[in-house]
Order: sequence, then C-alpha cells, then structure tokens
Amino acid sequence: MHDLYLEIFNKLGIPTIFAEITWTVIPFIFVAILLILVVIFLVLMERKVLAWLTVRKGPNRVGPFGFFQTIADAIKLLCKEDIMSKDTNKILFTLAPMIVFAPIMVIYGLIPFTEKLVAINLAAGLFLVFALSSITTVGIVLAGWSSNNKYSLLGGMRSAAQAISYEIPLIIAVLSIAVLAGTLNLPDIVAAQAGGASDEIFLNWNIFSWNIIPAFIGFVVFFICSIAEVNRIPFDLPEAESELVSGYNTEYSGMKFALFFLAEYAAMFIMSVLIVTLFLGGYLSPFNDYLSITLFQNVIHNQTILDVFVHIEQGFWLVAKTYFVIFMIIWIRATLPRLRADQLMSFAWKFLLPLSLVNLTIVAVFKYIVTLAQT
Amino acid sequence: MPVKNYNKSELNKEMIINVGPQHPSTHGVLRLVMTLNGEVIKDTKPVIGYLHRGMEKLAESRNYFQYLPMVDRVDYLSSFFCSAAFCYAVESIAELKVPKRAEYIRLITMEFNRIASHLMWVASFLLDLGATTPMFYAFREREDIVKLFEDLTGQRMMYNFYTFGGVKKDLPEGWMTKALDLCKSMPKMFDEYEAIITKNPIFMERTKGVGVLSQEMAVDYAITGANIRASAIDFDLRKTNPYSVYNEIDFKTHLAQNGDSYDRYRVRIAEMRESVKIIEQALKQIPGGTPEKLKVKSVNCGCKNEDCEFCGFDAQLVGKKLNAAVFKPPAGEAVSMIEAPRGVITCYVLSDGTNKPVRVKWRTPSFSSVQVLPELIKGKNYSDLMPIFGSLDVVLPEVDR
Amino acid sequence: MKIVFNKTVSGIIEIARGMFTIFKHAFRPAITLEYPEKKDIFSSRIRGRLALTTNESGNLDCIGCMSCTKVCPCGDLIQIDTSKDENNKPVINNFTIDLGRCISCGNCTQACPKQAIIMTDEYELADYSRGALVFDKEKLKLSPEKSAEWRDKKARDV
Repeated sequence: MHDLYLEIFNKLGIPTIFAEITWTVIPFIFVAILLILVVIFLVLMERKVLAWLTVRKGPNRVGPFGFFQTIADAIKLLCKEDIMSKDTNKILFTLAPMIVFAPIMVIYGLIPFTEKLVAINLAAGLFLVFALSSITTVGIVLAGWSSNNKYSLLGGMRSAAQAISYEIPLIIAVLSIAVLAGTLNLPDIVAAQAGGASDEIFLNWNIFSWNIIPAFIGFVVFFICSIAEVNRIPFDLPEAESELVSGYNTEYSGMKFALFFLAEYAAMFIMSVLIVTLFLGGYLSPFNDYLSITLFQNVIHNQTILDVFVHIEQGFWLVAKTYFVIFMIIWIRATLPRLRADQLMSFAWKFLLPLSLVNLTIVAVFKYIVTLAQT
Repeated sequence: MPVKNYNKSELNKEMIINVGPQHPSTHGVLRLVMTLNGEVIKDTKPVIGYLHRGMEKLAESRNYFQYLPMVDRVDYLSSFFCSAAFCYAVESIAELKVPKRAEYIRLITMEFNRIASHLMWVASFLLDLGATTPMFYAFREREDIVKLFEDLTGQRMMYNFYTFGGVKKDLPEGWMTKALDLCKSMPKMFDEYEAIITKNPIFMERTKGVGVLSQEMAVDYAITGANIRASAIDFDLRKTNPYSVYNEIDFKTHLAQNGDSYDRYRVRIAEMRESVKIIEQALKQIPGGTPEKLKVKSVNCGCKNEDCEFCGFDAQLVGKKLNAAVFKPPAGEAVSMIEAPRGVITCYVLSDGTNKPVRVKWRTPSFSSVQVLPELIKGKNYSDLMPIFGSLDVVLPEVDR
Repeated sequence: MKIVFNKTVSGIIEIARGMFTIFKHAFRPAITLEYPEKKDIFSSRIRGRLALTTNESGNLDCIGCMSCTKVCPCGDLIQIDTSKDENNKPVINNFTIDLGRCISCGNCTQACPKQAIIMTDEYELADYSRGALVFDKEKLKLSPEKSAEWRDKKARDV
C-alpha cells in the first residue's frame, strides 16, 4: 500500500518528502472521521434500541429512519446561548469539557482496526490506554467544582469516587490479558488470539482461542467496570436525572454540553472496542479463515485487491462485535434501576476486586499449563 | 473568586440545599429545604402552596351543580373518588337515595380509577429509581383504561360523571365486554412488572429496610391507605365502614409486616390485582345486566313495579331528576369518607338552605404523608430520599388543593 | 461464603429474567400513534368544542332560556342576548362563548332542554391570539346537515 501511495506521488511530480509526511497523517484523519461517524450513529442507535425495547418507535422524522437526528441535535446545541454564571471560574469552566473529551480522542488512535490500520503502534499501548482514560476524571471534578452550584459539586465528588473505585478491578482484569498474551502491544494481543485450540478440523476456528474462554470472569468484571467508568445506568449516580438534575453538567449549555454528551458516547464506544480487542478477538473472524479468502480465492487473482477485501472484512468483524457489545450495554440500561452511592462502593471493593484477583490466578495457572504443554 | 480570610471552623458548616419546586421528581411542585452534612440529611422542611388553587373558597360562590366539575380537580389522578366524596355528602344532606345500578357503575369506575392511579405511581416511582422501561409499560396499560373512560364519559381525565343521586349516563353498548377483556389481560401485564422489578437485587437493596414507618408514627400522623397497610395495621374503609355496594362484593385487604418501601410497593401491586377481581364480580352482579339487555327487558316487562329488576327503582340511573338551577338542599351538614388510592378523602359540606354551599372542607391523604417525610428521612443518605418519598405516593394537587 | 454464593446466583438469575422479559417486547408492534398523519377515533360522547345546532331552515334551536349560563362553572363564560320578534318568539341576537376559558365539563349540554348546544369532536383549536378563541354565533353555528347528523349520534346514545 505504501508503494502504491509513493507511486501516485511520483506520477504527479511532487517530491517524496511530502508523501512521507502525509502518509503518517492519513490514519489520524481516518480516526477523526471515524470518531464523528461513530458518535453520530451511536446516539441514534441508543434512542432507537431503547424505543424498540419499550414498544415504541424511536426518532423517525428527520431523514429516513431518523438518520439525521444527531445532526439536528448538534445544530440545535450549537445555536444555543453559552450561559456562564457570574461567580464561576471562567477558565476552569471552559477547560473542563475539553479535558473530558480530548483523551478519548487520543485513545481512538491506539486501537487496531485492521491488521495494518493502527495510527499509533506503541510497545506499551495497553498501558497508555488506561493512563489516558483516567484523565477524564479530573475533568469531571473540575466541571463540578467550577460551576458554583452545590448540586454539581455533589455530582463531581461522587463521580470521582466512583471512577477511582472501579478502575482497580478494571486494571487487574486487564493484567490477566497481558499474562495471556505476553505483551502490552495491542496489535500483538489481537494476533495472539488467532489460531484456534489445535489444528483439527473444527477446533482450529479462531473462536476457541479468544481470550474470553480462559478469562471469562475477567470479561464479566471488565464489562461491569466499563459501564461504571462511562457513568451509565446502573452506575449513573453522578448524572442521575431524578436526584441531582443532571449532576456535574447542570450549568453547561450549548457547545460545552454537546462536548460532554459526545464524550460519554465516545467513551462508551471506546470501552466496547477495548472489550472486543482484548477479549473477543478484535478484528479476527470467528471462523478459521476470512470469508473473503474462501469465497473469492479462485475468482480474484490480484493479491492487492484480495488484501483490500480482507481488510474490509476485518473492519466489518470489529464493528459487528462492537455493536453487539454496545447492544448489551443499552439493554442493561433499559432493565436495571440505579445503585446508591455506598452500595456502588461496596460492590466495587468487596465483590469485584476479589473476583478479579481470582480471575488473575485462574489465568496464570492456565497459561502455565499451556506453556508446559507446548514444550 | 478565592476566599482569602476564612475561618477554619466555618469549613465544617452544613450545606443548605433546595430540592426546588422545579425538579423532575417531586411529583409536582414541592419545595424541600434540606440541611445536609456531606451526604447525610440533618433536617428537611417541606414548603407547600405552589399549587394552591383555592378549591375550598371557590365553593362559596358557586351553586352545587356549578361546583361539581371543579371537584374532579382536587386530585386529578383519582378524580372519581373526589367526585364520589362530594356526591355522598350532598346526598346525605338532601336525603337522596341512589339506585343500585348507579352504585354498581360508581364502584366499577372507582376501581378502574384505583388501578390507573396505582399504575401512574408505579411508573413514577420506578423512574425515580432509574428503571426507565416500566414507565412505558405502565402507561400502555393506563392508556387502555383511559380509553374505556373516554367511551364512557367523553373525556380522559376530569370526568364529571357523577351527579347527586346517581350517574349521568348509562354504560354504552359493548363497554362491558371491553371491560371484561381488559380484566382478563391485565393480570398478565402485572406479572411482567413483577418479573422485571420485584425480585431484582438492585431494587431490593435500594428499598428493603429503607423508610420504615412504625405503627405509632403512622397512627400519630394520621396516615391511611396503602402506607398504613404496609405497616401491618388492618384499616381499609371499604371493610370497616362500607359505603356504596362494597358489602356485596367479596374481596381481601392485603397487609405487609415491615413497613419499609419494599412492602409499600408489594401492597400496591397486590391491591391492583384485587381491584381487577372486584371489577369482574361487579360486572357480573350489576342489576339489569348489559344496557342492551336492560332496554329490551324493561320494554317487554312494563310492570312498573318498584321491586322489579328491570323497571323498578334499582335499575334507574338517577334517584330523582333534579333541576340544576334551583337545587336547594335543606339546611344541615354532612361528612363523607372514601377510600381513595392514597388514603382516606374526607369531604365536609355545610349548607343553609340556599343553592350555594356555605363551607366545603377537604381532608386529603397526601397532606399527612408529606408531614411524615422529615421524620422518616432524618439521618439517612441523600440518595434515600427518592425511594422513601416515591413510595409514600404523594401527589401535590391533593396537598395544596 | 455459601450465603454470598447463593445471593449472587439468585441475583444473576433474576436480572436475566428481567432482561428477557424486556427483550420480548422488542418484537411486539409499536403502540405509537403517528400524529398528525394518524388520528384517534372517538365515540359519540366525546366532549370537544361547543357548537349550536340549527333546524332545517337554518335557525338556531336555542330558545334563550339561559339554563346553560346558570350551570356553567366559569361564571360569565356564555353570553346570550335575546329579544322577541313580532310573533313573541325568542330571537337570539348574539351568543358568545370564550372557548379559551371553557373547561369542557359538559354541564351546559346536560342542562339544555332542547339539545341546542352540543359538544362536537374538534379539539385542534390552537390559534395565535386569545381573542381569536372567542366564538360568536356565526362561528358556533353548525350547518343543518351536520346538526342532524350530530343529533342522531347523540340520540342513539342516551
């Protein structure tokens, strides 16, 4: 692909230095466009799925099946007045939504979407992902404090306590994945889940080597903690509508509120993509080989076009699995009531933390047995 | 702006917060001035009066028939009960007898209204706790009941259907079949709510042991209705002082032992199921049967005998046809008590022989329930406000009138 | 330890049962009524906007007895202005109702001895000013055909 790109530049007569610079920028542009598209679709999907689960129809007036509803919402929020109370700290008030939104954008660049399409390929990618996602807590506390409103302060404090408590089982569950894969590099973690359990006819499907099978308890713990990190029901006490009138984002209006709103959905997508990458095999297909290869192998003989097809299929598998996980998250939102603040804390410290340690033990034993069996 | 010279002891001051009149969950416009110490509630002061419409003063300048549509609006979620309270009081002063068919129609409509009011309570209680779907399911059932009422009276709320001495119109054709079909399908819907909510571990954690109403406190604050039955006090006006034709129907009252929010929820769900059984019995026992049958049989019978089932007094709709402009009950006073969904509604009417009442006084159950809120919530977490307040079933038009 | 395990397992089972109950609803038809393309159908007892009926020759059925004004809860909502013509029959010069203040209780329709004032099924009365909702005799009058139709409907349903 790189050679093709250089060839185009050569034909047009532009020096190769520009080709090198722009080649590295293309993945970032791709990631930014993906972010916008994903969030637009996700807001609509949540409203539609919630409506179907409650025997209603979701938005269906703006565009066919309501596709342009999010754009209408964004335009409405853009045109609103930007209200700031008299006694707020204006710098911090404006800075808080940016602190919440910016790290999530960076995490989008770390995820391997297909085999070759990863914007930032670091040796310690997994570590950086969780370091970045902890910065958003600072933004929420800033938002709560700088609003000069007692409700927002309560919301910000609760959110900080919740985020810190639920990060610990999260990290320990992720630690077990690092044990299984032997590396912290995200593309390598996905590649380590290929191959199946053995070489026989049925067991060489990829699905048997996904990380969910040895680390099932870790999957459950990670799933629950990721819902808590994103502040969704049943853990959405910081922004509970009936108790705190929307918590830390009570005083925000216009584009700043839109940033908070989009940050929540972007974070939800990122957490789902992480679940899929770490536990469900990322872009790998559950069968033993890619469908495009088996279907089109004898028809298309040009290797580059076959590669393009394989890449598109990998993207499709990633997106399908991610939206399945997002559907589970929305389904849980529709069913369960909210947890109280102290019950939330005791659930994290007394139940999830021991469970994640048990998971780590099981995974370590499993990995030891597998390494022994392979030598 | 940063505060420069602050006193260290002032840092531990308590925070006074306003759960203001505009709030998504105070079930109306109620203001609670709360003193919080961190997350623990020290004191609460409810401030009422934001929905005061002067219902009792309005009665002094209107005659009885002009006041009757306004009575529905004392509590618009249980408007048949308020209407019944006023009608029974005036019928007691004017000594009007109500025929049995009218009493049965009143009973059926009152019990359907009880189910609709409890469904509204389920929807808002669970929405406060964070479960967003039972609200839509409850409103789907309520829509069926409200459509029945629209066929019967012409409006979906504020029915203006009872009159002094009976009801204004007969049941329309096909109404009884629709009502019976609805009674058959409703228990299945209640089973669905129970599957989603009743044994849900998060719901049980949130409501069990929270807001325990002891028996002494309940009797001291004059709390009635499902709130007191959840504290194991067997007080149901339909059994102790039966009005209407409740003594001819066979039903049970449901009690619970602990008196916490979870028990109040269980008692109301059980009351909904019991109301369905009451309606089915009443639909079978109504004198005269369906309106088509009544019309045909009364034409064929024509005996004009007082005790005849089809053309006697008990098959009428109104005891005595009154002239609205000149209705003057004799001087006297009367009190009537009705078991409404939230408690006991009492209506006191004083008349002096003219066509306008001198004084109408309403005693509504939510007024007492709001007064017990500061006691129940002292020393508890701020997040316990919603389960406790929601389970008391307080509706602001009743509090403020 | 055993208690914690039992509580966890029963908790998971109950949550799963709730989730499947909700999931079944995704396959049922939606109960949304897409207004304004689809509207509701009402019975004949519906209490919509007030209207005055006319007989075949186009005159109002109203005889000017003022019973409706005596039972209206809203005080001076209904204003009727009558006079007598040469045969000593009542003639209605003006009949004004402020529909913005009407509470649709139906007392006037019940009190009228001639069924001259009825409630139709129109409810979409929104307008840009309050004065536009004060209807006078011409706006309240129904045509003779519609009057006959409504009178039939209301008579069939006593």
